[in-house]
Amino acid sequence: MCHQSDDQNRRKEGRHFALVFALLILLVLILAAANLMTGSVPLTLPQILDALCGNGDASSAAILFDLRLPRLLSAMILGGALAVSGYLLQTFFNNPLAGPFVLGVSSGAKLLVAIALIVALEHGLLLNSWGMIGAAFLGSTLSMLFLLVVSGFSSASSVLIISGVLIGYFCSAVTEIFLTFSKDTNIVSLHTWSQGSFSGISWSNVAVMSIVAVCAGVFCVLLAKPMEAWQMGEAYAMNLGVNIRALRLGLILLSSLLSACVTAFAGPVAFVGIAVPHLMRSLLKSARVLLLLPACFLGGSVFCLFADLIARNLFAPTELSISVVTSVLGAPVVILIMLRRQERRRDR
Amino acid sequence: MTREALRSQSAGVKNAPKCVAQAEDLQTGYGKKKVSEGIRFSLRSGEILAVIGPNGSGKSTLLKTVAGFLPVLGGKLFLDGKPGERMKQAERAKYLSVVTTSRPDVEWMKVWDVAASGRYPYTGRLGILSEEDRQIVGDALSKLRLNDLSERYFSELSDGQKQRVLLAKSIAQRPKLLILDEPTSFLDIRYQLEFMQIAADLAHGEGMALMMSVQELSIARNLADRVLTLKEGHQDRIGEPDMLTEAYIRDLYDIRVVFPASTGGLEALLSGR
Repeated sequence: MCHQSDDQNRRKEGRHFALVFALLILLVLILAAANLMTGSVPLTLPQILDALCGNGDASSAAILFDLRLPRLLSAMILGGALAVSGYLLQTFFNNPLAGPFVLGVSSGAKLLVAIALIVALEHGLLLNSWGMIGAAFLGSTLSMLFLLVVSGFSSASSVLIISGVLIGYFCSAVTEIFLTFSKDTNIVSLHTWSQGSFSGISWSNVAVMSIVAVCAGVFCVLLAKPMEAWQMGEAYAMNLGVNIRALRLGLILLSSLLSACVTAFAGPVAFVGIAVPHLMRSLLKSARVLLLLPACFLGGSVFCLFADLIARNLFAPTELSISVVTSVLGAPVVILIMLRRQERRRDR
Repeated sequence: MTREALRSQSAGVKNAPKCVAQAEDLQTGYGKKKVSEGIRFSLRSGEILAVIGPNGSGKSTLLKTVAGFLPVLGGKLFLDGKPGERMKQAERAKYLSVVTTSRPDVEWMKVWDVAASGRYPYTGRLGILSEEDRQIVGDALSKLRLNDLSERYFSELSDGQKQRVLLAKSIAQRPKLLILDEPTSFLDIRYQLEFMQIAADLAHGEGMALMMSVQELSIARNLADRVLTLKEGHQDRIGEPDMLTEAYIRDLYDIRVVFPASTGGLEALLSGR
């Protein structure tokens, strides 16, 4: 009898999970269509479908393939990567306020990419996608190492967050100094990038970020089981046979790589990494890693597609930087979640 | 010696309870800081060993050392007849299970999920539970009468309820050695009695070896097969629970309070009469 109710609960739970995923996929599709249709030259759905099938007129095909599609795909992939990176960091530090932007991991990546770009330009070289990612990865890993040292001294979650915010300010300030004194004429594009933007992304960029995202995704799934145990705390994870060192290293490298990938192509994007994992946990009402990983990816895609839609269209033809929009959308969400958590704790 | 005699002798050895954990002159501590030394015990399957002693005498440190959370600082620790540190982590996860005094702080994790995490050492790379795993988790939850709570979120439970869920998780882990750090601290009298019954059943019924630290001397006296006492950084005694006489307890805990004769003295306080 009790087994039967267990089965019933599982089915009920399964329906709920399926519903959440269906909703997320639907939102991705709707927002993708909206992003392709809107812009300085509006396109209709039939025009888009024609162009995708190769039957459209040359100008709409050019707009679609040269501008909107790569931008759409990068917003989806990078948004998802950012949310997953935030989820990994929250798991690693067991801190619900952790995220690549707040912890200064994005800013570390930004600093090194800016330095690499300036150095390359002064020598008359162009940095390719892999070079950008390499520089960004180095920067984000350096920020992470600093955070690890800090968290070794103090396990208080507020100390961690404040150190992260300070690293972020520090790296941003140094980046500004470099940008101010660099002689380059491309300074304008460098400046838009350092504010965060999905514009100007090429198909080869999209290819590289897809490769990185897929590889990181595979490793994330392989880490799902130990992450699940790690959520219970270090002692319990150890007792369940988790290889703590390997897990910690894996989480650091993967979250750094994912946020480095985002920063290399789109600059620092704020609040997606904190807000989306929270929203997904509350939507799914579950802590299962194998569900949360894909949900965070889809949720990050939805969040960034929506933010980019606003960034491009709200004050068209002037474009807002992506971080402006994600901050306006994400910061209230984070505050709300914090207050709700506090309330629940008090109720107990 | 006849062949029959030899056979019965070897059969006798086989049937004799196996030594699940054994310590010889064990030293425990954190990093280089020694907490206690001179610890000797041997724990066979089906036995309950209670560790008692004043606060700060190293009870938790001893349990953590046996569990492999802390390295052996000196002496020897054997698990399953082999040096403890040589047991691989995956093997250890199936061999021993621990309930510490810390409580997991997880949002959105259901009671069922926490208990199911005990199956971690037995599942595949993705951690997906088989039908058998589910059965074992369900049985562990019913053993602790947690079925009604199984769909509740762990974070919403009272501390005593969390304690029982973690015990269910450990039972689902199907260990040979169950290590419990102050398992009764947060339980009310009803659940303390229930816990004692479950512990006795696990040890004497299912042949698990239990090693636990307890504050309540009545539990050490009534539940344990053997008692190990720690005092001022070393093992004081090990023996049957009846070694816990009033004089010894006064000495162990350094109790100087004098009770008026009419109250029945310390003994009456301890036995609750």
